[in-house]
Amino acid sequence: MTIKMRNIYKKYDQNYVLKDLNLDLNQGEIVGLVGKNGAGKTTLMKILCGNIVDFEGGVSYPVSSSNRPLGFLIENPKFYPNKTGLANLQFFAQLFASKGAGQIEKIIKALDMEAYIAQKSRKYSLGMKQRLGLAIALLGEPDYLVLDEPTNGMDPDGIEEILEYLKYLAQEKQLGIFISSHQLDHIQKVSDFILVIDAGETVKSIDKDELVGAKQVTIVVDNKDIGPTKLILARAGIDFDLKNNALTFQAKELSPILTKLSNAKIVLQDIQIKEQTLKEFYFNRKGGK
Amino acid sequence: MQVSNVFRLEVKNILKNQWLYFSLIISVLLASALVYAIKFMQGPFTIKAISGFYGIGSTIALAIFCTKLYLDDLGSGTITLFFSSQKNRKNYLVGKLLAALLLGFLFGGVCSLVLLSSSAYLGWEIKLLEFIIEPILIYILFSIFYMLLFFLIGIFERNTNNLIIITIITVLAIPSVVERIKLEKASVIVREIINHVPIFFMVQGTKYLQLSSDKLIILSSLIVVLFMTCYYLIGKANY
Repeated sequence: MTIKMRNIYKKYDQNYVLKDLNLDLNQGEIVGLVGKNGAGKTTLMKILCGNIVDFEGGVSYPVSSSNRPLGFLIENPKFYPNKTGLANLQFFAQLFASKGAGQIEKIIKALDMEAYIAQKSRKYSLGMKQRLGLAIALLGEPDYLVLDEPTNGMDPDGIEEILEYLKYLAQEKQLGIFISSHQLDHIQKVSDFILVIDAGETVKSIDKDELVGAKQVTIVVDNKDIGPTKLILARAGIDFDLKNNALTFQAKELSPILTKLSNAKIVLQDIQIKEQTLKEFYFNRKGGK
Repeated sequence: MQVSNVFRLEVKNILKNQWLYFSLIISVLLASALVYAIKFMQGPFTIKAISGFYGIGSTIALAIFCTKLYLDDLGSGTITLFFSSQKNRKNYLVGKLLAALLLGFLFGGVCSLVLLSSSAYLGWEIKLLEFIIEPILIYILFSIFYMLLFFLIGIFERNTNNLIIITIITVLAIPSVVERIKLEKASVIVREIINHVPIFFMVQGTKYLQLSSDKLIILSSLIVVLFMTCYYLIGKANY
C-alpha cells in the first residue's frame, strides 16, 4: 500500500517551487523530508494532503477502508481556539467518523495531554498546540500521517516521547509517515528513508542503511602522496574534498581503502574517523559547506 | 467525510450559539414594539410592517450567521482539514448549504410565529399561507443566497475581517444606498434592472415578505448559478 507522487511540478507566478519531485510513501515506513526554508517542503506536503490542487504531475492514493486515509499537521496546528482541546477532538472525531470516545481517550493518553485537555485551546503553549494538532491528525484511524515540523515548540522530553510514538505508529500500527523537520537529528532518528530537497528539487535520497555505519574520514598525507591518494580514492568511486594535505571523504568500509593506500606505500600522517550523521550528509550534499 | 457529518456538527454549533437566541429575541422585541404601537397608540401599520420590524434585526443577523458558517473554519485554518480531497470539498459545501437552509428555516419559523401571534393578539385575520409558508420560504431563500454569495467571495478573499465587512456592507449599506438614490431620474430600464438585482431587493423583500414571482425566478436561478459556480471553484482553490 503506497502513495505515489510522480513528476510533481508546482509554480507560483512564473517561478517553479517544485521541479520533478517523486515520492513513494509506504505503510509502515517513515520518510523524512529536509531542506532549507523555501525549499518547497510545505508545498509538497500540501499537495500530498489535497490542500493544493493546481500542480503538474500525479498523486495516486491506494484504496483504503479508513474513513480518513490521511491525517496531517501542516504549518501551524489547526483547531478551533474557542473550544477546549477535548471539544476539538470530539468535533473532528465525529467529522471523520472515528470510533468515538475510546479512540479519543487512547490518543489523549498516548500524547500525554490529560492535564490540559479540558482547557480552552487558545490558552495552550506552542508545544501543547502541536500535540493537539497531532492528536487531530490521528483521528479517523488514518493509514498515513503527514507531519510538518511536528515537534516545534516542544521540550526535549516531549520531543523524545513524540518521536518514539511515531516509530511505534509506523512499526506496530503500520502507518506510513511523511515528516519534515529542521532538526536533522530528529529526522535521522525516526526515518527509514530521507529526502533532501533544495529549491524544489530532490538533491539526495538517503536510505537509512546508508547512514548506519557510515563514517566521515579525514586522512593527512605527505605532499608527494596527494596525487596517488586522489587516484586511489577516485578509482574506488569515492568523492573527496582536499584541503591542504587533508582529504575528507565518506565511507562505510574503510579497510579496503586503507589496504590500497598501504600497498601503494602511502604513509598516513594522521587519520580521523567520525560517525556519519544526516547533518554531515546534508551539509556536504553539494561539495561541502 | 460525509455531508451528514458536516451538517450534523454544524447544527450542533448553531443550536449552541447564544448569539442566535440573542438575535432572535432582539428581532422579536422589535416586532413586539410595533405591535404595542398598533394596539395602544393606534399606529397605522399593517402585518407587513410587523415583519419589517422583525426583519431589521433578523436579516443582518442571518446574513452574518450564514457567513460565519464558513468564516470560523477559514479563520482558524481548520478548513484545510476539511479540504483534503475533491469529494470532501464538495461535501463540505453541501453540508454548509444545508446548515444555511436550517438557519433560514429557524428565522423564517420565528417570523411566522411572530406574525401568527401578533395577528391573534390584535384580532386581525389569520392567513396561514401568508403567515407560515411565505416567511419560511423567503427566509430560506435569503439564507441560501447569502451563504452561497459569501462562500464564493470567500474563495477569493481569505481575510475573515474583510469578509465580515463585506457582509455588513452588502446587507446593510448597499440596499439603503440604493433606496436613497433618486431612481426617478433614471430610465425605466435602469430602474427595472436595479430593482431586479437580488442584492438590492433581497433585504427589503425579506423584511416585508414581498417577492414578486419574477424576482423569485431571478433569485432561484441565481442561487442555482451560485451553487454551481461554488461547486466548481471549490475544487480548484488552493488552501
